[in-house]
Amino acid sequence: MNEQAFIRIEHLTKVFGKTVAVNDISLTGEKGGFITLLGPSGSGKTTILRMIAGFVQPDEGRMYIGGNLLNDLPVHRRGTAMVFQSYALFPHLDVFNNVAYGLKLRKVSRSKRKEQVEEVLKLVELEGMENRQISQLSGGQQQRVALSRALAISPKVLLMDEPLSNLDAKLRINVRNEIKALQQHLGITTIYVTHDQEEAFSLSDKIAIMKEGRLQQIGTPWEIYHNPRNKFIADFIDMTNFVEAKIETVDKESIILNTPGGRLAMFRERSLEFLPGQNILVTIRSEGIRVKKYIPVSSGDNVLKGEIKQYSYMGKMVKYWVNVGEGMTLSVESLNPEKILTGKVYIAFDKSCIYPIFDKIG
Amino acid sequence: MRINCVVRSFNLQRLVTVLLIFFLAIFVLFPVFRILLYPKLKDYMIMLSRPGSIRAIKHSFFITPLSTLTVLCLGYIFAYAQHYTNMPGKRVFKFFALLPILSPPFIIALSWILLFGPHGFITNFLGIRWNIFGWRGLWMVQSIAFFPYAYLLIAGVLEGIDSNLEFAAGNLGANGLRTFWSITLPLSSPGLVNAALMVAIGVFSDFGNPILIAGGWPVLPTEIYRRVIGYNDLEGAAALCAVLLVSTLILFLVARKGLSSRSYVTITGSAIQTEKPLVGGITKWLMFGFCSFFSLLILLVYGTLAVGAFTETWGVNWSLTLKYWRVLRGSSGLPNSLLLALLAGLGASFFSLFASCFIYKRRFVGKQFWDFVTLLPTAIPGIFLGIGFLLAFNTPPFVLTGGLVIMVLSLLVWNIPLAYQANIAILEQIGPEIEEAALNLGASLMRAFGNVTVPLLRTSFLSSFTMGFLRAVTNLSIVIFLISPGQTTATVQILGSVRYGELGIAAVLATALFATALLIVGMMSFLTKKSMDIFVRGR
Repeated sequence: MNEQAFIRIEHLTKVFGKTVAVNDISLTGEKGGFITLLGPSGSGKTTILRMIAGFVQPDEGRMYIGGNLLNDLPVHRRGTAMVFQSYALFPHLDVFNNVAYGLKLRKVSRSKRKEQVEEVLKLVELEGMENRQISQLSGGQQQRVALSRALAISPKVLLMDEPLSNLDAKLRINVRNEIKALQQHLGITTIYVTHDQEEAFSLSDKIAIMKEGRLQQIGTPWEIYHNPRNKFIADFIDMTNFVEAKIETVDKESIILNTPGGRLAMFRERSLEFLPGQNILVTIRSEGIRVKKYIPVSSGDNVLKGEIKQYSYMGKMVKYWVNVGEGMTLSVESLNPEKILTGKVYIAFDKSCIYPIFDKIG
Repeated sequence: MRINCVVRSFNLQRLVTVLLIFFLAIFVLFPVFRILLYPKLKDYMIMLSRPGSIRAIKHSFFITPLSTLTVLCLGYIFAYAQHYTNMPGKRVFKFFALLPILSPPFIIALSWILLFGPHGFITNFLGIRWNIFGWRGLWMVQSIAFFPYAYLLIAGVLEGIDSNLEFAAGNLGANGLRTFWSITLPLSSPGLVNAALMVAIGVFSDFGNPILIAGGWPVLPTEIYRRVIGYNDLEGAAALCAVLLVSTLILFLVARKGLSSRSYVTITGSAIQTEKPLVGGITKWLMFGFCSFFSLLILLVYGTLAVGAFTETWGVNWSLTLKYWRVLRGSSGLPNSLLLALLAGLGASFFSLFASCFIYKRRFVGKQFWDFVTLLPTAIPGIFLGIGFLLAFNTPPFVLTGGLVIMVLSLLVWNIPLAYQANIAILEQIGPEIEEAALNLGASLMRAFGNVTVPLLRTSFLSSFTMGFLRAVTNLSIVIFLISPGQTTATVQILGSVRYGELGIAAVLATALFATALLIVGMMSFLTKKSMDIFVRGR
């Protein structure tokens, strides 16, 4: 484990009654980095965040920020500012006093306080709103106040608990981009919790995927997308094509698989061991598959015959469900479609679009 | 056919509304105006120049803030300990805290006399002489008697505070004490103000405790009683009643305004309710000590009554006896009390069920006014209502005095606002869509009321019935003016016994009344399966 890491969590465990909410979690994060805890509800990600903030006491494990042990520090000395899912804005205080709250406790002088509050409000484009009551703000504005309240105290680590879940879809993307820009601009170390994989991928330097209190995989968005360690992860990051296959031959560069839809070629990854005759699960990226009415000239590595069962037109793309063999249906995302195809078709994809999934953790 | 159906139900709905309004006019507005208009201007002048009246008014304005403030402090600490610590015995403390609701408030005064009076158990034990009759005794007794109401209202507000707000404060650097002062206390202030006004109305119009324990230290309600019973001076009593009503009405209007402008309800939805940040260390054990002490005090109060019911002569001869229990045989007091309370409780719940659907939910000219009239009895002190009914219904056109009917009606009216508020709280929660859905699917208004609204209000019906029953069975201030020879109630009998010095009989009646109330509540909570929570009043 990296001793120099800014954020270090070791063997963190929390049990509520009979359920193990957080099960032996260890992870590290760099200073200025953006880590996302990604997982479905009940996976323990919020509990981890609340343990770091000090709202929940861990049953086991240690947490460090900048080399300092957090465990025995009371909530108010941890220097971790949290943006709550419900925002938790103080309803009896106006915008200014919400943002100034933490500064006041840090005995920042009145004039300095005013200056700093104005500064952070400017960052989130809320200048001039100081005297508004919280109930007069829209959801998006409340979200920004919550963010600026947390930023105002210049925390060592910013904790964000599903901060976008109460916003509508369009606003969510705007605010997401703003958060990313702000985080990079300020260089503030951030731990972010979400169940939305798109949010996680677009924001993070590092994603930790959780399931039932256990860490499934930790890595950069690229690593996770291109090498999901198990089916749960692949499924969670929206991979839909899972195919049971039997290995026929293994050579230096590639592996030939036998599937219900026909023979398929796959890259051989050197770090993993493959044997002929072995049954494995593979996934095929649906955006890497091309659908054609006739056999294309530059066909790629794999070509299969199939029939379109169903389609769904989504504007910038068409999603097809193509039946390619006994019990084998592949979903295909066809970007920038010229027209919507039906009936018998050919599908083609490179061998880099197909990779093995192992049911393993870690 | 369909149009015909709609028209018919429309008329029926109108008829119900008109009937409700008639009832309110005769039994709420008429008695109020009867009192206010009964004294001539000259009677008002005489009353306000009499030193006795001035003294009583002064006393009332002294004891009300004092008792209210004490009750609020006690209630806040108790409620805070319940919600912000993990101290042992929380359930037991809650049980004891709610016991005083089950008994007539003045039972506490009776027990206080048995404990600390001239022949009191503790007085004898310690061998000291002190005078508990007067404002000090009244202050302590009222503090215990009205404590549960403050506790319940404050606990409701504390429970409703999003604990993430407190976590957020800590997260931004506030320690426990700072979080309390800057977040918890300000956020609970609406509930605190509401509790203060409710308790103040209760203390200000409390009759039973002052008449038992405040002896020669008159307050407004006891002075009114003295004018009626001692001097048969109805004009003077009515004039004082007017002073009483105006004061409580002001408190009531302030409370109503304060509630409607309350802005701290949860702003954003979908907040996960997490556990409260708990207070530990010395604070927790100080609170534990406080709660234990207070619970023991309440146990002592009721234990003393039970022991008193079996004691030969309190303070003189401590041998056990059953002789006082004979009073229950052949006395109509207790059965009358139960019958009155049953009818008044049911009546108020039924009336409110209809009122909440046919006044609160409908739009018609003067709706706001009648909504206000429905809630008005909250602000009417019991003693005012008693005298109001006495003056309003002893002459034609309405002669009702001299029977149980007038007592049932007065207690019913007194209980209406509670049940009405409980129903409204639920109706507000479920919103109009559900009923609209029923109408949309083809139900008539009456059908929608019967099929949808009534079942939804079932729980508030049961809880407001229980609460109404308890209030009626423990009432003294109203019924004392409406009893007639042979038609008395247990509470009036208790008062009589204490005044004749028959403490044994008083203790027996009080114990029996208390036991019955406990039994009824036990049965009701078994029915509603909501334990003591039925006391939590609607907003």
